[in-house]
Amino acid sequence: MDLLANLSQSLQDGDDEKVAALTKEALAAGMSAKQILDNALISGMTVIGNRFKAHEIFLPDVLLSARAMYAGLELLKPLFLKDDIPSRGKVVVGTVQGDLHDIGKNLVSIMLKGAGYEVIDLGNDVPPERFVDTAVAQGAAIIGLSALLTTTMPVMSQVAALLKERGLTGRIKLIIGGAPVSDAYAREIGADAYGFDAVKAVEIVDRFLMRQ
Amino acid sequence: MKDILTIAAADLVPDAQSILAAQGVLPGGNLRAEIVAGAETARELFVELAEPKAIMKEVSARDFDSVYRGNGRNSQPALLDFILPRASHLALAAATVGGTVSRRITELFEGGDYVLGAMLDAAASGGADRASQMLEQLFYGRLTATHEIEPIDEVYCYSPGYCGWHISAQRQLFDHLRPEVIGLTLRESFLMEPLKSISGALIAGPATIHQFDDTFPFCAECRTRSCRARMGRAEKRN
Ligand code: B1M
Repeated sequence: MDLLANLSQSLQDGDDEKVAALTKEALAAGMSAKQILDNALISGMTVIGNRFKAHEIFLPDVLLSARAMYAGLELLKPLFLKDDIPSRGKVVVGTVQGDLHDIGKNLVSIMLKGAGYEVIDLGNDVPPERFVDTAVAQGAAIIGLSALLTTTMPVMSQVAALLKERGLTGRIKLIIGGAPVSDAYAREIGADAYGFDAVKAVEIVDRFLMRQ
Repeated sequence: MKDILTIAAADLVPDAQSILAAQGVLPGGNLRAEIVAGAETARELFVELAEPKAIMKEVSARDFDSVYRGNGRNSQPALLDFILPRASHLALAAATVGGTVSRRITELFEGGDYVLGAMLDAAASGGADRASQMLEQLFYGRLTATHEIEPIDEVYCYSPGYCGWHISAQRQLFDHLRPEVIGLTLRESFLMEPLKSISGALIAGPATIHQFDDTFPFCAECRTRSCRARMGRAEKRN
């Protein structure tokens, strides 16, 4: 097995130590950070995402691979900064104001980072302005909102309204998710998409950022 | 009468199988040793960090009614509209596993230990759920000890936010129960802090009142369907 295939497999096995060691080895062998990221880490995570979707593996398997992904990413990050290579895209995520449920949002954040995106995680109980202000200040193309209560869903519509008010609708895409949220609700409030789960959230972000 | 209870974390900790099931892991699934060990570590952490407390207060049908109506936002009809007229005894209750365990979950995620973070989250959610089952048993025990309930009667916990009982009734429930004494507070969004907490009504009555079809309009939106599993268990018992 060549080095990159071996690295991808170690990521799929969730072996963070081996991923770190092989990433160092690949760099020492003269491979570029971008080559390693695209052809080993992201490709490995894509296999994991697809296997999860096909119910071949479980959530903890995905989380182990995500941890291994970061072990490699941490080593590559300084090189990206040094060579001024842009990230795959920036996404601002958070749980909306009034809501403290963050496990779903955390999973979305982990999966997006695992897919190579730069994620600005604002945590929970986040007011609408903070989502929009952060996205503008950081040049993020996407805002992802999570809510688990019907009483906090209206905050999602406030974020959509704020984007509209500032003329940002369409330029900054809005993705929403969480147990009480639906496709119909996303359409109703003028959000760009609804993510049923974390894997779907990555697919949507892929779709939006590829189109740009 | 109001009871304030301190519960041993060990009595609430879910088994490893339930923690894994909450992560979508099916029984008999081929699991890596690290994942199985994670479920066990989560159980140990829960026992170490959880500070479970509960509060329970028996209430009259009239007092309960004002809590249940909340500010008039229940679905029409809601499930309890059918259960309450046939209930024999009612209590309000709340329980929490405390805030320390939630803080550790956040730390685990921030530190990159996602597997353990997710397992501990599932353990704490399961622990809070089990606290409501413990309250059901306690209320049942109280009623049978005073011979106020037929042996076949059952007690179940129904919560605001479920089955058409609007979550905003949390306000009235809090005003009546005052669970602040066990460290619970209510936010404007009707969410309780600490997060891993539950509240509800303990409803006693003939077993048949707790059996119903899942054909209410709100059932279509329910992803939990825990009522079906509960009825299945009750059927087996009787
Ligand atoms: C940006 O793009 C995206 C894309 C996808 C996105 C996204 C963003 N955000 C999420 N996703 C999606 O991807 C994630 C990963 O696949 C998913 O994220 P989730 O966060 O949905 O999923 C998590 C990984 C796992 N899911 C969860 O953790 C939530 C599961 C359910 C069953 C649930 C649980 C476990 C719990 N609860 Co409760 N609880 C429910 C939930 C019902 C349900 N089926 O969702 C819900 C949220 N709870 C509810 C209620 C009412 C309550 N709960 C309560 C308590 C609890 C437990 C403590 C027992 C436990 C812990 C909660 C927690 N998360 O910490 C109470 C409140 C607690 C409080 N602090 O105030 C209480 C108020 C009940 C009571 N009176 O005691 C309901 C809210 C109803 C409403 N009207 O708003 C509820 C929907 C159940 C129901 N009725 O069906 C997707 O939604």
